[in-house]
Amino acid sequence: MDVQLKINGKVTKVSIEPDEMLIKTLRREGFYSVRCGCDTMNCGLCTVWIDGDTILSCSYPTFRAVGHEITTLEGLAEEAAILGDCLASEGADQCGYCTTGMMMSAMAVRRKYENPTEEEIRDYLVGNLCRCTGYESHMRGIVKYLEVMKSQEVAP
Amino acid sequence: MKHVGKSYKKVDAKTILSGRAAYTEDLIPANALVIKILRSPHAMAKILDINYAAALKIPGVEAVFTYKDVPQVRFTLAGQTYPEVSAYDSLILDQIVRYVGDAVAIVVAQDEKTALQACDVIKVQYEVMEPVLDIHTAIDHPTVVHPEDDLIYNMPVGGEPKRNIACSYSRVVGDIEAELKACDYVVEDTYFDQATVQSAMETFRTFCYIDQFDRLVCTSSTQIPFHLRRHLARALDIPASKIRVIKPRIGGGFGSKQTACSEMLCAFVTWKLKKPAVLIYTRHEANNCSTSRHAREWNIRLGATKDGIIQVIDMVALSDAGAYGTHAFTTFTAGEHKSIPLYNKGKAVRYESKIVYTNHMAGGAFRGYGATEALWPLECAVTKLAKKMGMDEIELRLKNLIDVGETSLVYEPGEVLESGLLKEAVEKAKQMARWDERPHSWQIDETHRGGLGVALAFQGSGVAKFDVASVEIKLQDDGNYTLYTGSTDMGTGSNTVLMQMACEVLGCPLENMTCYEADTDVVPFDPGSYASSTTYVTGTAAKMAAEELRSKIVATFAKYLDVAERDIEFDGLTARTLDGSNKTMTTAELAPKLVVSLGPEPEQLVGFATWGSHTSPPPFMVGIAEVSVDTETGQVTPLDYYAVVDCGTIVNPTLAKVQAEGGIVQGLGMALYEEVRYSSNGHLETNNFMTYKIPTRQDTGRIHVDFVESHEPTGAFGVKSIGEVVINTSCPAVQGAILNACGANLTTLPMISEKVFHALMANE
Amino acid sequence: MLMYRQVLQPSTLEEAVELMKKQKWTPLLAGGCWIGLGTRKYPAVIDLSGLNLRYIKETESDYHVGAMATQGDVEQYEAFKTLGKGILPKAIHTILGVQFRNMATMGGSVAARFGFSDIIPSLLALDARVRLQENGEMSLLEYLSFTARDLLVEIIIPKKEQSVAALAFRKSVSDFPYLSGAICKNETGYHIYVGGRPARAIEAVKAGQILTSQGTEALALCLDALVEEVRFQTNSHASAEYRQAMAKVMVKRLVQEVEQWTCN
Repeated sequence: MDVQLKINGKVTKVSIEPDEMLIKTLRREGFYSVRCGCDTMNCGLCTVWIDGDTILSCSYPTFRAVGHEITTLEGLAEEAAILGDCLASEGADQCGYCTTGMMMSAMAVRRKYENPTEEEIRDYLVGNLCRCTGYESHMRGIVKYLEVMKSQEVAP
Repeated sequence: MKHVGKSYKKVDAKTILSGRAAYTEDLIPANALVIKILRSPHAMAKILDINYAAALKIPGVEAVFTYKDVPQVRFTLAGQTYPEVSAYDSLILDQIVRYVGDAVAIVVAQDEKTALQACDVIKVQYEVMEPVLDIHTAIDHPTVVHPEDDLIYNMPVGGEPKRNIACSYSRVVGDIEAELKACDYVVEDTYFDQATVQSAMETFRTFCYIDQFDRLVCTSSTQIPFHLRRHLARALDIPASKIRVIKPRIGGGFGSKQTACSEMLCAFVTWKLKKPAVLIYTRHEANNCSTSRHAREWNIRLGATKDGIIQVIDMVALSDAGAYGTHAFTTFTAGEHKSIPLYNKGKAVRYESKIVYTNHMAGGAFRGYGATEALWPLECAVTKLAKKMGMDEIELRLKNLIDVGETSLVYEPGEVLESGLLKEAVEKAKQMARWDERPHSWQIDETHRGGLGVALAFQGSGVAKFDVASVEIKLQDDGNYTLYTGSTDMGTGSNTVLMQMACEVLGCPLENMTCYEADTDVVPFDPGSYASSTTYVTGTAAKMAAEELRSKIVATFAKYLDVAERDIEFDGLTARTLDGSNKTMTTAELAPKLVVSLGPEPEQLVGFATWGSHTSPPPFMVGIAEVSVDTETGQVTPLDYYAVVDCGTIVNPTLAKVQAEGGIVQGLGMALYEEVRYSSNGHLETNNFMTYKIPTRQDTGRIHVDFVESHEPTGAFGVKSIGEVVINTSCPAVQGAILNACGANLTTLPMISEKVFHALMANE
Repeated sequence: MLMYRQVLQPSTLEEAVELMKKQKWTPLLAGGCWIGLGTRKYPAVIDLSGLNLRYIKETESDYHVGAMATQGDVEQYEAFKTLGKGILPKAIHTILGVQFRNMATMGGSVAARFGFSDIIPSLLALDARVRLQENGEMSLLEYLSFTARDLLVEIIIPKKEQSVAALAFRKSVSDFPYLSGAICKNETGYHIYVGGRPARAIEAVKAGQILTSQGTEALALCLDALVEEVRFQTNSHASAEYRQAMAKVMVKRLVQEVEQWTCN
């Protein structure tokens, strides 16, 4: 099937199989931040946004994304750089493989909650697994990032 | 110090958090053929016939390979220094398949779908044999897992493969029975640990191509590039000089990638077809067709005298090697050195196991490498002993804990513990957990009880008298440095840590150094990152290489600035004269001069060092778990974990802390959630994340980590290691916490609610 | 990995049902969260995303949840946060993670009638009904044993004053429950539902009747009747004996919770 997809605000023509999943299409288009860590929808590494909602691109048929807005980490590069820096300052970027997907959830939680508590953050990100960090450094990094983003909003 | 002790961000942070191409899957050559593996549905079978004619007819299928096509040279996949202790019991493809999931055929096609289609139409006839699925009946089982006559042992490891004994080990010191009789308190129990799976987020994947010099280039998610090259050479029956192995950024290892996995299969295809090819394991394959921790059933007896001294430690295990003997011997022997010496005041020790072949997935290397398994029964038994003696379980441990300068019954003659702040670490952990300030068992609410439990752990740093690392540091023609290492950063930040250590010596900022790692054509030999060796062994080599380079640079500046060497002050980038002449010169100015013949003596300056240690200084850890037990259902909820680690001098505190947090949580997974379950015909049911539950961020409770910094004299700047010790306390600490909370004595892992419930019912 | 050669895209409910009748073995593609597990390759799937079934509507007497409304849609719907003290979003919230719930559909969850469903016991407690395209409306309880192939169009949840509670036991946060259940106390008495047995939820009628006729002082009798009436089996998540023991604990806790309601 030949379809038009809107990825990070840009319209792209792609040629896809009917059963092609969004992760495959996105990676073929060069969006390497989207990674595959399992085959049972458990790990969250493949998290991207469809119309601002987090979904698992490993199980989302690409044809269904037509007419919707797809957002990957690459489309949030500025904010992702801030979040990435905060995570890196806590050593939370260990192997990094799960982190890009987790960052999509973290940036979504900021849009969902005014002032998320740690419990709310943890809860919102429970679908993002990590095997390296034990999760505590993720939290420290995300809390830092939320503070930075808040202070940026206040500044003139 | 300038750099050691600073929490720098990892040097690859920006790349791995951005989506830039950095991991194996991002770098696949265009038009690489796609490989899929046809796998055995039987736990033990002989292939009688493979008919793949239909597969070859499918458009886009390039080739199908079977056991008939591969070299008949047995090898081991285990990443360990040559001569390897693990038996050479593997072939790239074997006529006998030894576990459900073992490779049967290699299918090569233009894309994944076609390859999968081809797999579906291959017809295989098997002679199915009765599988060996129980370690208790493995020895002398009618089915011999490895009947081949060309199985090779490089050295005697007590193996009797025709009896399904992969290897065996026994160390006895003193008279166990006599000493036990003389004890006032004896505890005895049987403990079991599962063959848990590392489950790194990035599965195994490899791509290969033939380079411009007709050589095989293998890019893989591996921890062991040099061992891999050697294994590939043997397996493919070609010289190692024809092979180049490259390791890019990888998504975790934890020991799973200390054993070759997808590489042999992919390399064979490229070598045969002379075309690029890629093999990416699914999660099912990664958790089913690689190598895991070894499952072991431990019979342990501890004996103590009235004065509180543990006189006897008797540990006899029956271990599951699985289908292949990768790391089967060394994981067991490694455990001895990292558990028993904790309590060194006794008279008799036995540490023994038969390690048997079965038709389960093969065991291999998993963080802790035998120490984790050995500390499970030992620490649980010490706690049990304390209860029997009516003594606080930390007090009993402190009475028996080894001190600096002391030896152990299982140490080498003359070997002592050379450094460590063990008692200090225990004290700190007690304070963090408020151990002395509150009961260790309490009622939380109507249906929950809380409990505290404790465990101690050792590990090692590198493999003593064996593993050796080399590091090269070049002053490049632009005045900056490049550090070359064969160690492998799998997310730990080891590249960053090595640079911190080298820059400490040279004096320059980290920005002026590049770390180039893990390309066998370019970097000096390193065993790879395992055995907690990178900071201690490779790091010390890096320090020595930096020292050599620094002295060469100072000597060269002295020539160019025409002063004595002692009158040069050098900060890594700029040299200043101290004799009053006030001359300066930067490396950026010097370096170009060194590579033209106009200067005094052209010489590109390089520092190089090779180092290995006579000893493996143990990092030490104290873990105190606080749990809540639902006394009606048996469900255990971890609330808090208090840990103190002594890893010697800490090079990067933030990274060290994350190592500890990550290891503790992996241990919690082993303790409470990760079940390994085989069906009655040997199918591994828990081979994916739906059924194999690694901890989510709501399964962990809060983790609190602190450090005590001892100074290890043999390690650069006083370092030891941290990578593995951090997983070793979780299981026994949680077990002790459950025991205290509600009296349930769990002896098998994981400690799921149904087991706790049964133990509670049994107590009533 | 979900694999199929053809995707059939009906644009009306009638078209969809026609396809279902013509192709008896072709699966429906709702959220794709279950059908994607495993390695089966389907010749075709019937895509439900073009049928305008992603909605939650409110009428005077009920809430109508379209089959393609996601679990996340229902979890975030304002009115459900208070209906039955939020029993429905609370139950949904325990499922895996946000991303998964943004894809899994209510229709898929209910039509599959899985034993491990976290949602079905809560819907039973809320006295939910379903509307099927061919076979019309029926209670969810009835639907649980309905076998004919039909298209589930919507789930209907009545705006009712009743005391409800739900509970599920699982071994770790992201795991399937090894037991689930719900209770409803309304004008007809107590209704106890037990699922994850591992079989699908059923009503423990006798147990409920004991509470209805004798009050909560007869809890012990109720629990005894419960394990007489409800069948449990052993599977990878738990043994039958453990499930049986836990069923008593679970129902006791459900009764305690629902009694707290009605006393306040």
